[in-house]
Amino acid sequence: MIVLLATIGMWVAVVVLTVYTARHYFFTLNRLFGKHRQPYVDIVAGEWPTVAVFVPAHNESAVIRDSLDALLATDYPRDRLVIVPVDDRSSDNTRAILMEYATREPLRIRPHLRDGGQPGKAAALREAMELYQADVFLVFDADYIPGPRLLRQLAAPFFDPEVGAVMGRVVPLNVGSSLLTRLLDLERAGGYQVDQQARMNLGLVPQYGGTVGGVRRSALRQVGGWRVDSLAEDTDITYRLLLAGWEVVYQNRSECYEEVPETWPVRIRQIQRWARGHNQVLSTYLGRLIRNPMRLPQRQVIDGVLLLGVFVVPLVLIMGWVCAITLFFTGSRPQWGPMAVLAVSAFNTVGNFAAFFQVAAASRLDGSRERIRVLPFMLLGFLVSTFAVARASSSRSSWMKQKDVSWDKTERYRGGNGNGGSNGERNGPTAEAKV
Amino acid sequence: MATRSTPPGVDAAFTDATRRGSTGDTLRKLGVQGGRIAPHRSMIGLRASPALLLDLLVLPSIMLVSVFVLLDPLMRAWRWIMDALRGPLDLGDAISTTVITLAPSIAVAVPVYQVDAGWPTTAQLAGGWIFTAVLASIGAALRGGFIPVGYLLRALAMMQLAAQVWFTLAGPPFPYSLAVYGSGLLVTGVVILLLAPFLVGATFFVFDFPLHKKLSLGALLLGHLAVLFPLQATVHVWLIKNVSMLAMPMLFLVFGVLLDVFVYVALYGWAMSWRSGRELDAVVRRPPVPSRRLRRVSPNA
Repeated sequence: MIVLLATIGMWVAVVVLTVYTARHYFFTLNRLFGKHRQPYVDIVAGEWPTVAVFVPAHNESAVIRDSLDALLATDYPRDRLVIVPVDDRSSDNTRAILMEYATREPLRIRPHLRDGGQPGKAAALREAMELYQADVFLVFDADYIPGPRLLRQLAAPFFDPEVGAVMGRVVPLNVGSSLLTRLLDLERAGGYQVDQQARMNLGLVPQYGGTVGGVRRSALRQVGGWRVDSLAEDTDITYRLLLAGWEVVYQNRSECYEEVPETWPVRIRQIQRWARGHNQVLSTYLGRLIRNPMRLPQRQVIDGVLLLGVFVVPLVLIMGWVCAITLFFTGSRPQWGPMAVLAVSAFNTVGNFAAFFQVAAASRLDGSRERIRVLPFMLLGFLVSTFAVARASSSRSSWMKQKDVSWDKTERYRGGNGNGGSNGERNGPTAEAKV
Repeated sequence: MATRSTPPGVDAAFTDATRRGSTGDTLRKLGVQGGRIAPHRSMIGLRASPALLLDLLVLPSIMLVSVFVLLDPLMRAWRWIMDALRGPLDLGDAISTTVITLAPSIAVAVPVYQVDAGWPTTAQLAGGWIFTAVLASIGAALRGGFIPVGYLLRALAMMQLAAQVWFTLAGPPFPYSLAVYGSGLLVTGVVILLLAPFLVGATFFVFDFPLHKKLSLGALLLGHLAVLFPLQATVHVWLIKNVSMLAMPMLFLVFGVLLDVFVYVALYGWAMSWRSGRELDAVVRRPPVPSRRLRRVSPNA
């Protein structure tokens, strides 16, 4: 009985991992050789929509100046842009900095200061956005440094009336700080340069990542606004827009720098938060997505389901290992026959390699040739991610709506040591390379 | 009416491109003075061509045929290596042969150490428990930048713990003999050698590297694995013979095929950093905003 269960479990794991492997490989080939779908990148003139840029902040004094300076330096028409830093109960100097900028640029910078209500990024955004009537709401985390043309690039897709949300590319700024930042740079490259762009090319489901992107106000209102009980309000809004028939688009050309975690404990907390939030979305929308009431194309449904399952894969992987160990001890291996040995060997040699292929291809496309040499060290990153995500995914909180969502701290490193900045930044696709 | 003069290089490059029958796409990328306008990294990609298709089909086929042709000499070389190590490492009196049929008309004679390992003694089991505890303790104690190593050690400890529990509760015989295990490793090695051309083809030959670089990685990988497999099998057999069957599970699950895969990951990571001299070398990612410019922090931060 144990042998039978272990055999079934192991082959389930092999099948699941093979599906994700094929997906990695297919996406990479599409990104390398497929026709690039970047339909909005050439829009440089037009009757630009009114844009409100929201910058949620909680103790961000170390980084928020750079972000506001960069936003003020963008070339978006001044009369159509308002920047709304949303301070949620900061206890450091953040609020004073925001007031200083508001005094200097009263027409363009309008801080929204919160001292009560539910804490957290989603709640802060929900409250602030209800006060503005701009056509498009863009969101940047406080450590992000947008380039001069980024706002136009992100606003351009909204000329298309079917587009409900847009996502730009996140590029790590502090790449050389540690081995971890180098590994995260590779993961980010794989997640955006290949994964997101391939989804865009194929008309699948690019993911809105909660920052360096935005939503159409009317679409947001139609689907009920931000959910304040979700740990992954970005993934949540992606699926609600998808299920309501809106298109989410990815702009690979619209790059913005961010800080990635420089220490492993911060990274572990970050990826566990992503996993819990993502799994909440999985439990909420999987059934509806499969029932497909909006008659979405099958390819979008399949991709949507696979995307939802990304953070369950580490659990499946560990289950597969446990089953393999069980089978090893029970001596079942010889009974599989040469073909089974060949199949498992083939998977181990070719299958497991797909994630490395995706990351290497992305870095090569990025022109980051020499950075690929740290590729073998990604094993360590995968190991940490697998166990951290598996732990998060097996927790009860991972599958239930949160009663109390609060700011989850992500340390900032600019200006010296990591200090207590925060945001709920969550760049889902970056976790893809882990699978 | 003033006329703008065209930089001299443009005329030459334009003429040259036109003479070669270049497409509008080529001309569109023609920069000032004949230079090439490199596309942004978000736009760059590769172009499927008959030459690439040829690379994808022919090169792996050549590699595969080479492996098949060299299998017999390779097995003789493995036997020679194992025979040379057998004496000093006390790994039996002779090297025997096991014939493995890979396909209906393809068989390979894999050399095998004729040794066996016993069921772990009480002392060996106790040593195993201590080893497991040390692994777990070090794994749990590692902090900071060593956290991933800590995870690795704890994973190894968990795997060894499973072996400890098994050998404590179960009784002999163990399902695998050391000789069968050793030959299994080498047979898996042969299978990997046969799969390697397809792996390199699918993951490296698709890029725009010149032919000699593609062949170089293929040769490096096959050469490396061909030397690694008998040495890997020898180390496994020696360890298991001296430490008992207690070492077999971890060696098989972690330092077997998984290690072989990471040999390719390492070589692949290196090869992917080579210059191609073509499309993908056109983009060079410059460092982002200099960090010095960003180190302005408010006094109270």
